[in-house]
Amino acid sequence: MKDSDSIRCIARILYPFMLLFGCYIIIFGDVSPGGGFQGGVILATARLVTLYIPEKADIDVEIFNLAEKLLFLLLLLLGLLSLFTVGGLFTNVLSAELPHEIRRWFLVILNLAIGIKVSSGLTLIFTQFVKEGE
Amino acid sequence: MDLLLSILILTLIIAMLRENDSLRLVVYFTGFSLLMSALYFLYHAYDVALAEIAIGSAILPLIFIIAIGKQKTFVVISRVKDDFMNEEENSPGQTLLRGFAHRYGLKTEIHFEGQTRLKGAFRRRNADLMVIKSRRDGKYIFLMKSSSVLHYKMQRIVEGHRNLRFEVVEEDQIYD
Amino acid sequence: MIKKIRTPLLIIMLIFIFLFSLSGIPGILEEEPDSTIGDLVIERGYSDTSSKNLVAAILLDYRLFDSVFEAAILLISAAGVLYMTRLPLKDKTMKGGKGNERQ
Repeated sequence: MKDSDSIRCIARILYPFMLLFGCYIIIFGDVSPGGGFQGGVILATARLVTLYIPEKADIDVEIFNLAEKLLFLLLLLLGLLSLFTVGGLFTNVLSAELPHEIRRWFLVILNLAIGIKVSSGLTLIFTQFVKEGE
Repeated sequence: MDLLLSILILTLIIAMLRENDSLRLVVYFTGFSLLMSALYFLYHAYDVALAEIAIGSAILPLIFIIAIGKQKTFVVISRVKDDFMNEEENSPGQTLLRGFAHRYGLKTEIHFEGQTRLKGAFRRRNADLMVIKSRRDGKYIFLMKSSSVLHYKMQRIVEGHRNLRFEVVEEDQIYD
Repeated sequence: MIKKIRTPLLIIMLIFIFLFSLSGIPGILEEEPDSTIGDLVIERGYSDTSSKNLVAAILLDYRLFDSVFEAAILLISAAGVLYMTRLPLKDKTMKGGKGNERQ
């Protein structure tokens, strides 16, 4: 599987574009279709492509585990933070009087957190699966 | 257009239901989720289509294929290395095990290990069977997990041989 | 006696549950309501959440509670996979390592 030259070449070309597309989907999640979950899944699929590139095949799982735990805590904190600023749980932190261009950043940060969390979780899952399958 | 896609999806589902080979089933499933995401796209559900195309056609088939490949091997750990069981394929122990696995459509994988290491009930390598030699009467003991589906059939085969014995281990029991 | 009537009883119960749930869907047995939650989201979504993508508005503002715990499900499943595929617990406690010494 890893010996085919053409697949390795195409995977090398495709990998940065998949990363770029995933990041685009995450960051523009609040103005165009997509969002944190979808972009995170695409980033995880980009990691799947690197299984064809032998130099990049080895990663440490612990980083992804740590990132997932910390980002889940961050999500919970972002949800709870709106209790002190707005007065309701699990809504936008910034108050409704601010202009839309500023309130939008809360959604961008939330999308980023969800996207990185989902991509690290899925990467962890199938890296462990591939290791187990060998 | 959407009617055509729906008919295609229905035929794929029927083909999936009538399929016996697991690997082909995974390929059908991949095609099914691709067509499903096209249908979501036609109905203007772009977010769902993005999630479906990435999960249903890349990540789930990978997990399924690895699980199927794992299921089809019969892993044996041997601590015995003598005339009965050695690296050559025509030694009697290997012939027995390979014939047994071949009958149920499995691929055999035999690992040889030294006598000194202790380990829990085969968990580290997910082995199905372990061969050791008894010190008391010189019989070869076949150990299998009690959770394994095949251990009744293996027991019936082992009972026909005089120099073999069969034992069942619990999941978290340590055998030395 | 009970075994004989159990299956038809179950079927009759399922039919009743199906009809009962059908009566809740607007437009089948009831008349359609004047406005649904979709109209509300289309009308007020942008001014409430300042998100032009209304799906993101629902996922990240109106139903943020659900999204957070959806992420929790993924965390739990990843932790489960990691637990199953690492070294067994006994070896880990003996050596005190963090699971780096996979074979």
